[in-house]
Amino acid sequence: MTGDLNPATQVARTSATSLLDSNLQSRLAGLSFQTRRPLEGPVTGRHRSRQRGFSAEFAEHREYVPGDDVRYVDWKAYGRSDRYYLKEFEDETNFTCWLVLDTSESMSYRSGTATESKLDHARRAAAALAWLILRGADAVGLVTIAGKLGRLVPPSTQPSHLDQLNRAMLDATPAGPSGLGAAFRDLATRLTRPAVVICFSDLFDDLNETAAGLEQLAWRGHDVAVLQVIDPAEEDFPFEEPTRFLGMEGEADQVVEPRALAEAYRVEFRRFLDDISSRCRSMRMDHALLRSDVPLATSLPRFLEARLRHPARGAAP
Amino acid sequence: MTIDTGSLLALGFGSPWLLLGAALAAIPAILHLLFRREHRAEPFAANRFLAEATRKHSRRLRFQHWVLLIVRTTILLLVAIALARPVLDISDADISNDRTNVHHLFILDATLSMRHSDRGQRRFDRGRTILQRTVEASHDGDTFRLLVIRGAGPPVVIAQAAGRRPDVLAELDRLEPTWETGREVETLQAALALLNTPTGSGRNRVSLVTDLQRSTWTPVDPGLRDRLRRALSSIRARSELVIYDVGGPAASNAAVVGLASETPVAIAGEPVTLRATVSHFGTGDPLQRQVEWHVDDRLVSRRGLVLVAGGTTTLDWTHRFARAGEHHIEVRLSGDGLPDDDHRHLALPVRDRLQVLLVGNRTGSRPDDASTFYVDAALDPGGLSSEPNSRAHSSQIVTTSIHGRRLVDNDLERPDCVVLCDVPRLDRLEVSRLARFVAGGGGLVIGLGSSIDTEAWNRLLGEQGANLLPGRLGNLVAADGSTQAAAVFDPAGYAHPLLSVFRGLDDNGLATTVTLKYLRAQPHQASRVALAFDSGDPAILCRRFGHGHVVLVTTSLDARWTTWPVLSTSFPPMVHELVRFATSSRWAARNHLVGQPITRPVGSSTTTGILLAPDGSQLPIQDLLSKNSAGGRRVLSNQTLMPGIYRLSLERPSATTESYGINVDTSESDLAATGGPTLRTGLLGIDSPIYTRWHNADAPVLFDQPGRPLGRILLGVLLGLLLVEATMAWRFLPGVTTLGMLLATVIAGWWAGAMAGAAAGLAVAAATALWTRRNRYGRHRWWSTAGDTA
Repeated sequence: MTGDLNPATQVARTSATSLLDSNLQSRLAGLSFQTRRPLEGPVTGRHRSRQRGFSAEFAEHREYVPGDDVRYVDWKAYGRSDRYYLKEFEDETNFTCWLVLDTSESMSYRSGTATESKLDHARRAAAALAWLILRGADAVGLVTIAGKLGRLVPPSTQPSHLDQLNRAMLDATPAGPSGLGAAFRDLATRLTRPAVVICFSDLFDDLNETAAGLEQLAWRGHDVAVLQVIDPAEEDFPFEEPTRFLGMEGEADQVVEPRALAEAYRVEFRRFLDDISSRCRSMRMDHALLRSDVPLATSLPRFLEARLRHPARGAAP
Repeated sequence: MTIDTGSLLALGFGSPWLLLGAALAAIPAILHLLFRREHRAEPFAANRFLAEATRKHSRRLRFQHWVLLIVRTTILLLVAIALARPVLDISDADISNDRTNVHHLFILDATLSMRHSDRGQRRFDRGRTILQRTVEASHDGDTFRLLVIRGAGPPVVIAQAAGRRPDVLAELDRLEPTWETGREVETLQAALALLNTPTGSGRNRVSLVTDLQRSTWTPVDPGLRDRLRRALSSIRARSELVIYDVGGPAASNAAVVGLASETPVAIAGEPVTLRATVSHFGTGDPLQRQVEWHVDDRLVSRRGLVLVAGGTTTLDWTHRFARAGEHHIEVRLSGDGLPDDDHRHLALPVRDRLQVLLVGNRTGSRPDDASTFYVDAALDPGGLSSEPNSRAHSSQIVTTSIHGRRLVDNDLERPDCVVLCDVPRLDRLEVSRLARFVAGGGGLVIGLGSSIDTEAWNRLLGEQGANLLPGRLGNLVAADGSTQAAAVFDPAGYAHPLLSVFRGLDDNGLATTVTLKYLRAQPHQASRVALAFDSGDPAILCRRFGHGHVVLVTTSLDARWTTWPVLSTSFPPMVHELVRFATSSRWAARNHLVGQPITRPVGSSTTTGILLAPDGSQLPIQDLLSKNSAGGRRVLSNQTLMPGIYRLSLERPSATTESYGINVDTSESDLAATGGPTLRTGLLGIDSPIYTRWHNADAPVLFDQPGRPLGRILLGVLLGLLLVEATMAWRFLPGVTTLGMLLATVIAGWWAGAMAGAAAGLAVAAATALWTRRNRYGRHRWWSTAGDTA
């Protein structure tokens, strides 16, 4: 990679380091990414595992069955109940986090009141979380979505992996429709082990399809979090003059008198947000809004602190 | 144009043609169709939600667009309507809403100015229609009384409260406007007297229908104005006074305000200068008019004339009458809204000669012994007697000399001027005849002398007697035979018309005239000194008496007291000027204003004849004969209510026909009106509704009360709608809120006053704000998470 003389790649490399700023890093330094459900990882780590092992953390008793290791028989329990019970202990492991980045055309939108596009905002948010997760010796991978699954960067726990992730995110150019539902379903079939899946998208797609895809991920045991990135203009709709709004993903153009339709639009948009929030809650997923005009140093800590306050949410039944 | 919705409401327009501006209301729709706005294009990621919002709210948006379009169109419509000066007639509704019995007292202005016509309808007719509609809209139990403002005739038409509407309507139908000026104060006082008459239960309502002519209702005379104010205030205190102004917009008007002969006595074959005076009352552009001169109903001259606003123009026309007799001159001005003052008539008798009766006291062997000799010679220096004691001395003047004793035998019907030359005294009958002669327009010149009985003259002709003398005769002033001490004339700048012929002539002889004796005279208040002596005592005194003039010369008109007749060249022209001045209003008695009586002394033997009015109606003089204050017989007719030429024909023994010219009083020609506020503050000082607008349709009663004018209401609605439009274009809901606030404010303010209106408006605003807050969709926040919202 060091011998790459392509100017575009040079720019991308230069920008890769700019996805993380010191202010955001210092703000996230005291935080950690908490999984919501037990996961399996390749090495021992700080997170609960779905496996029972021999760590110091007692988990539960279970009745002896032939073939069990008699070393774990709880003889005190046998003395009390005249029945054989085995002691089981919690196993601790690391986890794998997949950052799913929506690079559809709509993510390139940037209004006049925003400082960056939704995609840029999502890139920086994903980079910040990757940095945080890698710092905890957990593995982070990346997959981009634009109508289908795009580039896939395998997970790694190496700190240097962050640069690869950033470069991959910067290389992704916004184009095409979202196709979130199919992409999520495809991703669900590809991920063989339960992992943390964090989606960065505006979710401007068929909501039923998208929800079905997310449900597939949840059903396969993944800890899914949806960070919905929106532009402030999409929520506030601050337009005044009559405008022809051009669809960015094949939608029909709309000639609108904003002052007459603004309130109705806001109602529709808020209903959309409510719907997503409700569906995520029913699927025991986290859902948070990231407005591109709000600094990540403010919005990401809130997201992470919310996960810390409710660590059991989304635990498998 | 009128929109009449039964008897309750009528909408009219002062300038209906301006309603064409209502076409402007189509502008918003046309602009919308032709010039659709070029929208700026902008990519937008959340277009799907816009599409969904548009789909769900398309009906509402379309409704809002329609509402906004209606508001904008209404604004333009209101502008056009406001420009058309809308007026709303609620007079009937006003009456209909009140079930209390109303005792109506109508006061209808019927003066000359009410004959003014605008777009085919007279002011009087508009006023009558107002009253007719009021009658038609009245309830059973209402009563009516009617008064008319006019010059002649009693003001009260219906004195007893009449309850039968057909009778009242019939009485109103019979009324016609007059050509007179009005007696407003007397009419209002008569109305006040009627109001003081008990009429039973109910309320009194006085409807004053007038054109509010400024000269009538805000007179210059403070005393008259005060009387008007007091009368109206008293009426207002006793009734509900409503004033209907049917004058409408200020109308300019031209009128022939004067017509007279500048030649004192018209002589057949001699040029007669006629002078007409034309005025333009009003403001604005100059008027172009045609002026026609008619002599005996025959057009003799026509010329164009430009009348400057507010200006007066005099026109002269010289005419020679071919024959003596009664002649009629008429000046006609091309028409305007008030044609009745565009004509003026002059009855002008034309003589063969000017008849001068010289009355002396002496005869002698020599002609110049007669006291009338020098006057006679001055009037006819080279003439010969055509009959005993009479000489035709020129083509214009015939003198007749008689002795003072024969004056009693003369009926004074023929002479135009009587010259008394040193007549010692007159008896009462002679004085009476002379007074009647002068009052009828004849001229009287009095020359004094040594024969004068001063005490008798002062007693019979002075202020205690017939009051003919211009001054009281005093002591004799004599120069004691010395010409050095004699008096000379002091012309005092020749200011008096009598001396105008001497003005500018240095050697006119007046200054060299020596007067040895004269009687000192103390001028009366109504007299004027035409010429004085250098001592300051009057030499010639003049006064008006009736229609005629009396001239007193305090010295003699012969050579006994003065050298004037024999040594001064000024004597002959001065005698001519004395006669000319004395007869200058010879025929004034033949020309009057409408309503002024025609009077003529007649002998005891005159019993039959007729007075023919301009409309052809005849009055037998048997009905017109009466006695004057001196006991003599006269014809007296007050039936001069119509302008034109009246002809009085007396049958034998006199067998004469005389013409009388009757003209309108042009004080009614100034149509400038008193505005409502001016009337209120300047005259009434009371708060009475004044209905000031009208239009020329069938229902002219229109509502525009100062302080609540429809124009102002429209302006208020316009401003409110402009605010609503601006707000609605910004946000529909605030626009609707603004509209609701305005409606609540107006309705509550209408019913309960300004404070209630403001409170209602604020209440609507507060209610809308609460409703909006409650329905606000604001649960989402950028930081909300599933955990936060759980």
